[in-house]
Amino acid sequence: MALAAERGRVIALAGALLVIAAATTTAGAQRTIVVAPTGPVRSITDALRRATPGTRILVKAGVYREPTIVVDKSVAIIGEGWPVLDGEGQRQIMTVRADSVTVRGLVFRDVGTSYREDRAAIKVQESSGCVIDGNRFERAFFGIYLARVSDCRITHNTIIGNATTETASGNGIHLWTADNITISDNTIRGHRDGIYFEFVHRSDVERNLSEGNLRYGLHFMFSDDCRYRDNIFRQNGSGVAVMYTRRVVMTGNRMEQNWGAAAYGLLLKEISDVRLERNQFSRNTTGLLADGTTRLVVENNTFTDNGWAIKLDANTQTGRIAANDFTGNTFDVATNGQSTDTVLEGNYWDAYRGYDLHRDGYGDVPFRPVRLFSVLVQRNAPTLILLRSTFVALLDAAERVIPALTPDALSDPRPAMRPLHGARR
Amino acid sequence: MLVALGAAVPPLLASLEGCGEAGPRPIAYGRDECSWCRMTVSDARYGAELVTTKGKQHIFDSIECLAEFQLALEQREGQTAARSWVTHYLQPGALVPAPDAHYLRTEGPGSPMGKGLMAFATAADADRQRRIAGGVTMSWVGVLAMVKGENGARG
Repeated sequence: MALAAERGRVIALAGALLVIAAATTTAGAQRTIVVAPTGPVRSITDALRRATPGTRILVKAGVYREPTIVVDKSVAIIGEGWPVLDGEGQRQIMTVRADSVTVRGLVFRDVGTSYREDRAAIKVQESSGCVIDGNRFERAFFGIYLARVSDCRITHNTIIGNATTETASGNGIHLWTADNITISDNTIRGHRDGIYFEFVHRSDVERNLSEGNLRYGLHFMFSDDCRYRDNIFRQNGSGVAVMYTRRVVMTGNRMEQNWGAAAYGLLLKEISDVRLERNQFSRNTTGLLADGTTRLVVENNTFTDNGWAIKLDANTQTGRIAANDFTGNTFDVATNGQSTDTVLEGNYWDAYRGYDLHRDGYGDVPFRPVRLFSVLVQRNAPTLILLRSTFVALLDAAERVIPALTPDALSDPRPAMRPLHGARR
Repeated sequence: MLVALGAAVPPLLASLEGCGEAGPRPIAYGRDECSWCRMTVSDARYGAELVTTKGKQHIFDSIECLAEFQLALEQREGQTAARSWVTHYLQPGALVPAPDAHYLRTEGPGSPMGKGLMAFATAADADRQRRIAGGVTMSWVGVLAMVKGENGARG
């Protein structure tokens, strides 16, 4: 045992020495090629021809128009003074095929729409270890596109499209078949979907702002084990929609101002094992819609000023909705069936009319958040025009006293008397 | 629902008179919601449509969603789709009856729901695309069998 440990240490030491040796040689071999409109090297393609792995290509300010740049060596391409790579509305600007490529400080402009290919400002294919940091993208069809890629970081980019129709626009950040990717601190506007994941695993999406996109601020499917933290998804055509995925964690995000008949703060479709914590859903037609969701945990979120705060389809199983604040929503919870085994507990509901004789901060009588009228609307949408009528107020009052149509199971036995997350409103 | 019913009455009558000759309605890209996956239908190369024997219209964002919906319709409700259409990949907006179309399944990214399915009006078109993008060609029956098989494996 002791001997094995000793041998392990020796191997580790030898390994460390090797790493240091390697770093020194690389540093020795690393050189910089300067690209400038009037210098000896005037295009990035030319610089790449001269480069060897580890070369730093420094691009000076200017506008560069060259055929699609193919990066097939492990280099760093660094802009100084915001050089512009112009696609002239006709082509993909950069294709990365080598491992460990860094792209920083560049402006990618005018990729141009294509109906036949997913043209992008930067497309990274079948490689790993890329870093795409601090670039600007203007009027790209697709902005950053990764296909069969792993271990990349996409950070601090600004991606502004001018999408006017969904069919003629691509996604801001598009990942297809990728693993262990970090996407953080980016701003994405004016694309079809802001961030799009298909077959992406073990990745992190943090502190991004995705707003004003034609379809979704975020969309993912078949993307297990990803985490979404502290992002803002605002005013996107259809909100955020995620589907066919297992093990999802979404915390501290804001889903705001997504209005429209088919718009959701967050749509969950065929998702299992999802945790939604400390998110804010405000001013959406529907804050959260769960359809075919299994083991859904919704805790410590705020639902404010939505049409429907939560819609639960009856096929949703084993959910837990606890310690959330519901304020100013037209309907707090709606469901399209009687049977649901979702548990409600300890939420604050501004519509609660109960009392707290024990003085423990929680009401003594249960609260049923599914209004009779929301059941009627669910079955027959046009009845919505009766929303503020006396007749409906009467129905609701009657239903509160003698529940007949609203699902009995969907009641909160311990409603909080005061908002739990007041400071965050 | 009342409004939807009202709108459905004239085509219903028309279909009674014309023995179901009514064609598909144009897909409103960017507005229609897929009847299977609920996504907003957006890519005009892949939209699909189905009309049930009862005359109810459904829009899909992809061939795979149409296939899943049709299989579910047949299995759960014993109902067969009256008619269904898919988009000719090379001509967005052109709908072709699903049973008559020629299909290509590719490995790469593309189709909205991940199965890499595209449809063509002619076998020659499907073949030409196969030479560009790779993959395998199949019939509508093949598509249904494939979707059924893979979902069995997934469940």
